[in-house]
Amino acid sequence: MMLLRMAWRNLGRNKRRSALTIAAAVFATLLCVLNLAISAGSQKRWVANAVELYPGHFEVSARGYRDSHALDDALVLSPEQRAALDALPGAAGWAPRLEAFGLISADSERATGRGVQLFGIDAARERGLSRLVRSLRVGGAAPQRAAPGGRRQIALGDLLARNLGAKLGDDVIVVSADAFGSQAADRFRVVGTFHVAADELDGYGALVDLGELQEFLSAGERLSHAAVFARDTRALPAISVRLRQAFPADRYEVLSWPQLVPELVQFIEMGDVGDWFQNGLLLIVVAFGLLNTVLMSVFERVREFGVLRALGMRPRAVFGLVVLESLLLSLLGIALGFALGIPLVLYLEGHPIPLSADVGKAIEVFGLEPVIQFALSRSSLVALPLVLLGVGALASLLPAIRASRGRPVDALRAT
Amino acid sequence: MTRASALLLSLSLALAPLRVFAIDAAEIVRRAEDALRGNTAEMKLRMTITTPNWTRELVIRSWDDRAHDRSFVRVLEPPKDKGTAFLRDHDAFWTWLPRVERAMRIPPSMMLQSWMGSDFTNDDLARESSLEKDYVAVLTGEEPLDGIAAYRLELRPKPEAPVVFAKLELAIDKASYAPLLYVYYDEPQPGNFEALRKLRFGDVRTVQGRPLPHVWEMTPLDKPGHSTRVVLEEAQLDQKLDDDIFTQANLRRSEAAR
Repeated sequence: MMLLRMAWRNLGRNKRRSALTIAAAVFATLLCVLNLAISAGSQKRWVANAVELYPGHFEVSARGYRDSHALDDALVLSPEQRAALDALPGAAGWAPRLEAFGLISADSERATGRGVQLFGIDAARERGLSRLVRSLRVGGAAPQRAAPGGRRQIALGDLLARNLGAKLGDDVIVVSADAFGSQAADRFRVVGTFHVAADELDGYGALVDLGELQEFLSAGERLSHAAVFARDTRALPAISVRLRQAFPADRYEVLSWPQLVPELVQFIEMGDVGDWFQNGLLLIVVAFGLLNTVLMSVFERVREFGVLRALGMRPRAVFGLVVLESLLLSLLGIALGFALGIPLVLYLEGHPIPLSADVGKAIEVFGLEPVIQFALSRSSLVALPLVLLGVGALASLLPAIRASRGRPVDALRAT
Repeated sequence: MTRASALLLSLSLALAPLRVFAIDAAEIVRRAEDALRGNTAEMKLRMTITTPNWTRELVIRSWDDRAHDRSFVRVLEPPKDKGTAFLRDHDAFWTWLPRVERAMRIPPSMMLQSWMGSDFTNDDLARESSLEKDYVAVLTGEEPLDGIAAYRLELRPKPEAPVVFAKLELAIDKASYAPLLYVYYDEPQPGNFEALRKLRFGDVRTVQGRPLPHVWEMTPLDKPGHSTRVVLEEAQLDQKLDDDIFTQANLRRSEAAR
């Protein structure tokens, strides 16, 4: 206790030196907080981007469908289940979908078929939720249900359209297997093309009105899944609970986005490792900064430590004194750093920094908004102060050892 | 006789049975395939597809010209699928879509997709891959199958063969060389084989001197409740098949009766 009081007093004795050390710690803390906030922000954006592209935060399907992809195992929603989906708390909405694999070709003699993933969608619902319908190219329209006897409508991924040599207004031939294994084949008119910057959709995807696809495949009311979109990630746990109530696990499967886009989870984990590596480098720089100031202060105080030793203070106590001083400095620096950093991050979260035109273009290719997004991450709040404090303690070890070894004889000669 | 030649002779005598064994395996496969396909085969088949939820029956006529590596299949029943036709000439595979009156080339990547919702693949129906050409056979035993004395063979794909199965196990009737059972394997991890599907033959009748099974039943082992049974209603082997059959023009004759 006395040591602590001495340490505290010592800090006050050379205010300029202490202020400099604290400033170094504040600066380091700020850098780490901002660094973590940028990576948390970009993670948040990647997630939102991947989820909104098509999958949604949750996918509800009938048990067995994800393995077989057979229409026999498809989902049929009861009126109660539709009501439950409509009433989900914190949800932005849900969309019924039917997916089917097929072959598609140009409507010409001896054309070669290509694999195509048909997405039967409700365009009106989808527009406010996923990016598929919103990504329709100018001049195109979302596919509608054909009038009786009219031509069926389809919207193609722009890469697929190019590979087929199909333009707006052209017809294409689509072949698939209907619910009874029989061949379903028909002409579809291309009413739109879309680009979402994902090859598996742009190159192999095609949109058809949900009812149209159900009729084409004799699938009745069957769905591949219902996709649920949350308004905010904070609503996810509550939605998950409600979904699992409405769709019991013995007959249904409710998957959440980490299961729907596992690549993304891996990507994020990789990013996390990279962030901590970056922070590690930052921390090493900080450690040397602290080490330097504390070491200098020890050199300046040879006389003082000599007197302490001459008065009978044990080397261990001198060691503790220096470590305590350094810890107090770090603690003050970290506290100040967070006091400045958190409001800054919170402000930047609402005011993303726009990027210059060139960099912005490169990012827009991935379908992202060209801004630097910040977000407060939990790890920066909990782990970071502890790590920083540890670094402060580590940096004080060498000076503390040095101070504890000081002999009164040397102190006599010191100025 | 010198010592060296005596040694050679005894060595070759010792190795002879092994060599004969290896030749025998290929010969057994050739005879079984001959029994099923002949040099050419024209057949009328009734195919029954069974799933846990529905059953469907198709009647088809098929022309298999093994010598020229081409085949033709036309669906006769049910009315919904009538006229759908498939032409294969070497590795070019075409289907005729009567509803839109268009021929579409099916890309090679689709050869292992289900044929018309059955448990047979496009490749099975079009007879593109060949047990003789694409696999190396080894005789592994002679255990009887359901009381019928049988050769047991193991087939592994040749290195460059365009096939997907990692291994086939065949049981062939020892007396007649009629095929009894084919089991198709996948190899998810090296050395770990997993049976994917099973083709059981039955009702062997002699056609043109060949023991032709008239019932083929395909069971996928990963889909409980699914199976496809083919019954031969007519079969003629080794007749000369007209070149006109294997043409685009014939493909478009969707309503033709032949």
